[in-house]
Formats: sequence, C-alpha cells, structure tokens
Amino acid sequence: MNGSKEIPRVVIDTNVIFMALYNPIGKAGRIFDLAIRNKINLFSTDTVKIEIARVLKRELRWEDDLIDKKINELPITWIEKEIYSDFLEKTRVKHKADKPLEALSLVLSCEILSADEHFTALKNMADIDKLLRDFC
Amino acid sequence: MKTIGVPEDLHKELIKLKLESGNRNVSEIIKRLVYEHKKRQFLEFSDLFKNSLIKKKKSFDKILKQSRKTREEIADEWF
Repeated sequence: MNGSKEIPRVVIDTNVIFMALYNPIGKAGRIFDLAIRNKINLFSTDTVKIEIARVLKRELRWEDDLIDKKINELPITWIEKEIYSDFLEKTRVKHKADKPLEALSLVLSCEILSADEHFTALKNMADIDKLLRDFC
Repeated sequence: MKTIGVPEDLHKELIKLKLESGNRNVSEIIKRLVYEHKKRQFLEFSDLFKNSLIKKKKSFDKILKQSRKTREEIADEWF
C-alpha cells in the first residue's frame, strides 16, 4: 500500500458538457471543476467530440480552429472508436446513437454521466449529486 | 519527482510567493497556477459559448435539440 487513492473515472455525455458551459457554477460546471482539480477523470468518445464541434460550427458559426482549440482545452480524455467498437454489441441502450458512450463505459468499467433519458434504465448511470458530495 | 530549471529571478519570485501564501512547497504554488490556468480556459470557453448564443439568437434548448439530431447523424455515418 502506498496510500494513494485511485481517481474515479466517469464517461461524460454531450448534454452535461453543454450544461457546464452554459452554467459553470451549476452542478455540471462543478463536475468540470473536480476534473480540473484532478479529483475525477472525465472521458468521452470521439463521436461526442464531433457532435460538439458540429453544433458549434453549424449553430453558432464558430471557426474550425477555435472549435479545436476550445474542445481540446476541456479536461476530458477523448477515446477513439477503435478502443470501444468491440463493446458496441454488448451495450443495452436501445438507440444506436447512444451506444458509443455505453460501450466506452464498459471498456473503462465506470459510470456514465448524462442528462439523456435514454440512459436512465442502465445500472451504471452516475448520480451527479453523489459525485459532488463524495469528491467536492 | 522531476526537476525543472527556472531563471534566478523567477526562482526568487516563486520562493516569495511560497512564503506569502503559506504553501508548504513550490510545487503547491505551481499546482495552484495550473489549476487557475485551466479554470480560466474553461470559463473563457463558457463565456464564448454564452455570448454566441446571444449573438446568434439561439436558445440553450435549441442547442441541446440540435446536438441530439447531430448525434443521430454521426451514428448513421459511423456505425
């Protein structure tokens, strides 16, 4: 034993990322503060990264360079399809579009933090209040 | 532990900061600076995002809805 505590891992969904940007002092924003303090490790898929990029480009007319810069500054480790694709068929979530996130959570053996009702039936959904209670 | 080289004057500043702030060591000061830097980057992203919503007259709900649609589109392309 070296006394070091493993930092918990959480797979984060697009809606929580946008919520954190919209209200950085709200619950989602406080999750990012925990990540910046290295108290939790946030992971997400390459599909989520592209989803955010396309929304910023199409809806808010951001330039590609700015999008890349700002997304890469987020305290999130982005995982590519090759890492989680073998787990897609093991997912339980019904919607095809949500499978990458669940697959990644299976690869990492961790919970998913999402505000999307499609995930609510899953057993490994993270409770944002519990995360904030445990690590703030 | 790793060692980093800093100029003499910066070394003095860091030691002064350590004494003023009551931190136990310089690595705590640097850790704090890294936190402040990353936090500022995140808040700048947040400000840019919120200002763009206002400028483009988009509601936050609309962004979430478009995001969901985009997710379906990416899934159709990729899987």
